[in-house]
This record gives sequence, structure tokens and C-alpha cells, in this order.
Amino acid sequence: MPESTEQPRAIWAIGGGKGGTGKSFLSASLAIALSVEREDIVAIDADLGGPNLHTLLGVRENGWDLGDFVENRIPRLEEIALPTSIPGLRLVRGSENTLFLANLNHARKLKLIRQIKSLPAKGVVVDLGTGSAYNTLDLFMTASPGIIVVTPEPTAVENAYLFLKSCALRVLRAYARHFGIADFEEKVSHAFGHSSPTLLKFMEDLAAGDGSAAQVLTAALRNVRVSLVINKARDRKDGHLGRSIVDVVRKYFLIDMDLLGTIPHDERIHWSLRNFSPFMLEHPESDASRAIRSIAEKLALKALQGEGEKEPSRPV
Amino acid sequence: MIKKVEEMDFYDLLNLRTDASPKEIEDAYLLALATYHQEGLASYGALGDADRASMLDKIEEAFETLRDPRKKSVYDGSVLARRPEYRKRAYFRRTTQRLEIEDAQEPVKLWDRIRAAAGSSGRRGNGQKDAHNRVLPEALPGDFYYYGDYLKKVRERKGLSREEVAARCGIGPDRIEALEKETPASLQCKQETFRELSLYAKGLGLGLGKGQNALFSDRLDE
Repeated sequence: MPESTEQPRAIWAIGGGKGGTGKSFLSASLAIALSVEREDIVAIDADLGGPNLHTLLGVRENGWDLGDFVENRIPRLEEIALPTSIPGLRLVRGSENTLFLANLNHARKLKLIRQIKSLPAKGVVVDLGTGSAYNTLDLFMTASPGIIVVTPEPTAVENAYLFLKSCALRVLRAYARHFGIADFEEKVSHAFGHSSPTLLKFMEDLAAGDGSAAQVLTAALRNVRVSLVINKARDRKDGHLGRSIVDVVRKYFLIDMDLLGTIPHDERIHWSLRNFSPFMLEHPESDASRAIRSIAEKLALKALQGEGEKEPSRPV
Repeated sequence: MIKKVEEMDFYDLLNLRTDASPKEIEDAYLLALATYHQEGLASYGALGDADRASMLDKIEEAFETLRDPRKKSVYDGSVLARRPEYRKRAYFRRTTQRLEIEDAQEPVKLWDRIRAAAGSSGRRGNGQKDAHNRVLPEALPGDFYYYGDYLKKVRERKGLSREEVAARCGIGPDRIEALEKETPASLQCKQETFRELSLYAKGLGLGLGKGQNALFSDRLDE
């Protein structure tokens, strides 16, 4: 059966390294908010270690999941994007099979990415797992933008930088291969093997040896589309954290990160989860829900602007 | 190109616009301190102590300069000219057919432009006389124009048609159109153009300064 030619208008992937920052909560909440904004949204639980997006969306029924698709029991991803109780929102459940991660080899990963890109929907929200495994990074970089979730804790910030550095190096490696930049892998190993320099320092050293290669790779970094959401902010100081991280990333990672918003901490999120009830639906007028809706509006607007830019190239 | 932190100017360093107010400068300084402070959360895991300390020194230097109007003025003079947005740019005419790039005039405000023209040769005309030995007004130079586009935009912003504004200032709609289009061939002599321009500006409710009124009075007395 040929793949559909209709493509999702936007793919948003939520990642960020550390567990417990609220990636799945944000994925579920954004999917709900976007389904109101744009209708016809598909949420994909691509947490390759511990999927629970279905719980956050109040879906209790078992059914086909991502593992069935990846292991070829179901030929098309679209077939396992099943309706939820929320109008305009479908869900691809994550696999609870612990061997799933090991089975996601290169060919299967490409198949997954290709089918995510060709899902007939107006938008796709991909919930990623913790860590910086290549599979997670590749799914994250498929999105535009990938969204990193950080809570105001040193561990979360530290992991977010590690995740971002891993993403950046993944992009740099791909560009270096494409442009045939010699000895790049050796330079990466040499620089990051025994210490942890900033990406800026690495690029400066690279530029000192090969200016044109550094120029190509710097441009590659500037094209990386990454956004930031601060979750569980408790005070004004936490509210400023996003701007500070964006500044550090711009100066030391050479990446223009976009701050989407800050979500205030809300104890009721815990109780919504206990009740198997999506927080966005239970407390739509809370500050946290408002912040999430504002983030969804920004994402929808950016996606629309992206569509606008493509308009002239379409055949009349 | 890689922009090293050492190469950033103080505005880049503090993420400020060059026209930032003192309050904005102070706010940016406090945020930068919070970002790169040794116990700051935002740079934790991204920078080592040496990088943080070095950045804090630069932030202090930037703030000490930008908070002091005298130091800021000296600094701006030496640094702003190197910024892309402050580099001399060509002045573009309305159409690409008349594009001037290399030898373009610097953009000058409307009244400065008029004053300069009046002060240079406008007062004495071009020396030619008519049959009654009166000095003829100088012909309008081909490259002289009056930001007609600007006046047009003001008119449109106010929701006025050419006819309406013509009725207000006592100039024909065709003259209004000629002024807006800045087409030298359709404009009358400089003296008349000044008069019409003045009337048009007044008709749009654009206030003229005392000096500018005097300038026009002089012109009209000729």
C-alpha cells in the first residue's frame, strides 16, 4: 500500500534528558491544547523505556502499540493511531515491551521516522523518553522544533545541556560526513574523550585548524531548531531561568534556542494524575493550563508561518 | 562565523538593544549576574568555574560602561559604527530602476534636506532672468525629492483621499499626486514646490517648527 502523500503540518517532539521533568505531562497537555487549536492531532508515545502517555490522556484500554508497528505486525503507523475521548486527538501508544529499545535498529528507526513524517494529520506530538540515546536524539531532531523541558533543579539543567550537546554533536557528525570533513570523528573523540569543553571552545579549536569546516558546521548549528519550556516554576527566580538558559545556549552552544514559556508548579497536577484525568481538562483555567495553551498557540502560529513560507513554491 | 565571547560588544553580551533605557540596562545586568553567578542554576553543567568567572568580569565591565552616560557615549562612538545596522547604507529610491548603491546620498530628514537646498542655491535662483529682468526661480534638480512617500503614508494612515487633502490645503489633487510621487518632471519650480509641500504638510496636520516656517516664509518672499 503506498504511503499517503498528505503530510503532517508540524511535528513537535518533547525531550530533555532527565526523567521527572514533565515531558509526558507536557506532551499530553500540548496534544490536548493543540487538538483544540488545530484539530486532528496525533500524539505518539515514543518513550522507548517507560511509556505512559496513555495514562496521562486518560486512555485505559489496551490495543496495538508502537512496538507492533516497529516489529512489522502492523504495516502502517496510521493504523495504530487510535481515537481518544478527546475530540481531534488520536494516540499511538508506546510499547511496554522491554526489548523494544534493543529491537529499534537503524532500518526500523528510519521506517518509524518516515511514517511519522507522512502521518495524515495536522500535527504530531512525539513524547520522547529520558536519556540521550541515538534513537531518542534522532526522533528529537526530526521535529521542528524539538522542545526541551527543564525544571528549576541543577540535575535537570545539567541533563538538558548534556542532551543538547548530544543533539549538536549528532548534527555536526551528520554534516561532517556529508561535507567530507576530514578527521572530524577523531577531533570529537580527542576533545570530548577525557574532558567536557563547551561546544564553543570545540568549534573555536576546529576553526583554528580548518576555518571553512568550522564555518559550515557553525551554520549547521545555527539551523538547529530547539525550543525550551521551563516546567514546575515556583517563584520569580524560576521564571527567569528560561531566558538565562537561552543566553547560555546562544553564547556557548551557538544555537538559537527559542523560549516557549514557563509553566508554574501546580499541586493539582498530581491529583489529576491520580484520578486518571487530564489536568488540562480538569483545570482549564489554572495558571499552568493557561501557560500551556499559550505555548500551544505559539507552536501553532509558528507552524502556520512555516506553511505560509512554503506557499509560493506550491504549484498553482 | 563563530562569535567568540571575547568579540561580543557590551550590547551583545547583555542581550540589549543599542537604544536600551537605563532601567533595561540594569535589568539585563541583574539577569546576566543570575545566569553566570558561581551558584547560578542556568549555567550549571554548561560552564566551568573559569568560564563563569571570565564572563562575570565582562558583565561587570559592560555594566560599568553602559550605566555611565559619559562612558557609554565614548563607547558607543567607538563600537556602534562596527555593528551591521550602523554601517553606511545606500539610500534606496522607490523603484529598482533608480537604485543607487555606491554613490547614494545618506538619508537626511525632510526639513534638513529642504534647508540645505534652500541655503545652497535656492535663494538666488539659477541666475537666469525673464523679460522684466526678474531672476527666474531655479529649476528643480532631477535628484531632489521630498519624501513624498512619507507624506502619502501619513495621508493614507489618516484615511484621507487626495481630493480631501487637496480641499484642506488648497492644492489640486493632481499636484498632491505629483508631490507624493516625487517625479521631478511633473513638479513645478523649486519655490512653488516648497510652497505646495508646506501647504500639503499643514493640510495633513504635520506641525512645522519655527525655523521651518521662517524658511518657508523666506522662500515665499522671493
